[in-house]
Amino acid sequence: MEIQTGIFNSYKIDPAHFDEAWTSKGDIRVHYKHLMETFKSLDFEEYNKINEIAKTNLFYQGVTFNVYSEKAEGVERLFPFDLFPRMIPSDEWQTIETGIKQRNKAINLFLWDIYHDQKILKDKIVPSELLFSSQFYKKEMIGINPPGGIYIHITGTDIIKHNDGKYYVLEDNLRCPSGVSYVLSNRETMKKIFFNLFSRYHVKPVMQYTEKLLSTIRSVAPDRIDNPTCVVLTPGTYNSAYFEHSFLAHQMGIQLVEGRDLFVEKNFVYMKTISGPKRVDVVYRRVDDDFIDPLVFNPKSVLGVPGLMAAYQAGNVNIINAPGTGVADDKAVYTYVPDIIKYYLGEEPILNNVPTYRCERPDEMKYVLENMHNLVVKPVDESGGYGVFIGNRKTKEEIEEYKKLIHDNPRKYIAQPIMSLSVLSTYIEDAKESEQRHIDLRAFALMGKDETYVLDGGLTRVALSKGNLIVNSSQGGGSKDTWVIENY
Amino acid sequence: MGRYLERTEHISRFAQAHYFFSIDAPRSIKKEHILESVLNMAGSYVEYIGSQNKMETMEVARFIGLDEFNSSSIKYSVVKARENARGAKDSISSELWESINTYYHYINSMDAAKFEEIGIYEFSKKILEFNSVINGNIDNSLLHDEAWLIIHLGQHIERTTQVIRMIVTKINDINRIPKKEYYNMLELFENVNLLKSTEAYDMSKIFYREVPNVSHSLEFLTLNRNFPKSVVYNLRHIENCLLRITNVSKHETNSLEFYASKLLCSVQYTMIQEIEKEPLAFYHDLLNKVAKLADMLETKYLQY
Repeated sequence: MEIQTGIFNSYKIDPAHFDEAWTSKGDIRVHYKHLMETFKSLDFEEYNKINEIAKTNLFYQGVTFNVYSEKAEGVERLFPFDLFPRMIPSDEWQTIETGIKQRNKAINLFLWDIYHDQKILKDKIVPSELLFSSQFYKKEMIGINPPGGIYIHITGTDIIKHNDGKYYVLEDNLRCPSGVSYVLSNRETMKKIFFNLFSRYHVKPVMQYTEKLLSTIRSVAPDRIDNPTCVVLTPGTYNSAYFEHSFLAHQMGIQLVEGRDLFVEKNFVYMKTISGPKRVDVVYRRVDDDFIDPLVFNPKSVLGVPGLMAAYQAGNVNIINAPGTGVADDKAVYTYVPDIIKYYLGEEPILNNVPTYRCERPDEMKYVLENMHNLVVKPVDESGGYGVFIGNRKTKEEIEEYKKLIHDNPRKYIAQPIMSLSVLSTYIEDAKESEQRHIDLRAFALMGKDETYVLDGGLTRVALSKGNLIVNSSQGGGSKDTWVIENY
Repeated sequence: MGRYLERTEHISRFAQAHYFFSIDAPRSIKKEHILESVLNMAGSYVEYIGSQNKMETMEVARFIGLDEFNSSSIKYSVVKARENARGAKDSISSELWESINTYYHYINSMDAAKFEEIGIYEFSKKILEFNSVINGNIDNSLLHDEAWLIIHLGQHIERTTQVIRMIVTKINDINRIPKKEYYNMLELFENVNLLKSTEAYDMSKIFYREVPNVSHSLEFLTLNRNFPKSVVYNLRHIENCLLRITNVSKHETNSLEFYASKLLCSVQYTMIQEIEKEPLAFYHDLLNKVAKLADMLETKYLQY
């Protein structure tokens, strides 16, 4: 049992959870030893001082997010950041990286198949009614061949470590995954504060991500375009992820545009500039499918570009990620990913799926309704932690209310056992001490014509309320820097 | 004065960029190589090796930052700049004098313990902030007369020199990378490092809208007419300052002004493909020519 000092003075280890830094007996795990020496040597005053430096640094960088509110302009908040990093030894990371590449490769083949031959449906590996009932399945994509055959150029796979010490994939996030800007900003801040620790651990860098992102985007420009013009399409400054949109455009050195900055003429997309229209070849859109083109999808949308889909279908512009990819991260389709991997690649999945019950199946719905208190129930088409029901935290009345929702629309819900997300020391300002908090990991991957790349580390999200399992920033979550370490 | 101040800014930024680079650099790039790179750029390598100090990050940073016996250190340059300002106090604004004097006292009061406590990042950040304030006072509180033009001439000459030195240092660093598995990644790292050291990272990306590569970086830092750190931009301003001081449109062959215009022409009509044939030879030659220009300037205006 290690002696606990400084901000760990009252640190309590709950043996029910997998603590990433401490064993259940209270010993520090090998790869955290040097880090812990540094943190244990800090008293409260010193810790608060560097914590303030970090917060000021992030504030000056403008690392904020907007929360929707009744106010027209929304509310801007500093994304909470905890100094104690999450560390993943490089050999352990290797498994995650290989697993994500395998998963994404299979899902990409799946997307091509369901919008072309639909062999996987004919072979009854995935039920066609499940697919066609998904609001994310876009018939406009049938027969379209995106450049390089790539649909999911940018992904953000949510992974947790259960109390069995194994990694599980929670979600694939194949539409517009957010969070990578926080990874890069967090790292900039940490480098300024813990220079010696980075050298000691040989932490794998993340600075090359935006170069890789730009290479990926450029690699999938329509054919015969040598020097493509690429843009980031944002819904605008009031969007909750606007910081990220502007950050990525700036880091890549490409234009950030809103729908009104673009127009389509004769199936080509143009950007309005002071020197006249400029043709656009690749649109990295951070606007949901339903809003990218009012002529095809939601006619009331003012965020998109009228005619964009026609230009895309004509092969004159590429859209990143491709429209219709959301069908593969529908939480009901997620349950078939292990089968999808076996079907297309003939391989066993490297990363585990969380066991999932699909409420559209009567026998599984029955089980779900009878065991609500032991399950997490999620709407299949929501993100950001919205609509998630955690059974053991609900009253009888709330459980009955939610049962009605499932009865009314079984296709909309899936249920999973309550996974015990791993925990990690997190400084709680009100308590003035470190406490265990649940964490997950969003790992970012890129798929271009020439390279598939997984960013080393990714975004460790932390649920700041005690016992809370929802880590999303919109639900009060924060983040930590994630270090893939080569030397410990 | 302009030269000394400008030098502190460039050494500081280069050291800061390399400080962070040493964290991100792949293990195959030895830390010693990164420190040697900083010493080379700062013109302190030979002195440092002679000083018997260890090749260690904080030691190197202290040597190029605060060593009063190292004629290439930031402290040495600040002392000289302050001496120049003191000598010309009757001709400069009190705002400019105070900002330079504050800079001097900050550096002068910095001992090894304090330096260790604040670290390299905070130190270099402070140096860059002092330079921003001083540059603002030069431009906004002085008459834009001959004295102002002389200060600017010094700044542009020093900026040209330092940017070329950084380019040469980075070309040597890139040439030192073994052509093995990670060559492309290492080249990318070194290239980004060069751009960050010259504050050109963001603008070069916006200018080219492509993934940064060495060829673009050399072109941008040498030939771009609108980027304030590029060689051509600064040579144009040197020519302009000289024309304004002499106030004549035609100059005698072999005069300072003639030489400056000739040098500008020879560089701005060079193509990047020509530079890339033998980049080190090109930049060494350019460095010599800028040094000659600086000597001619000193002879004409600063020696009595």
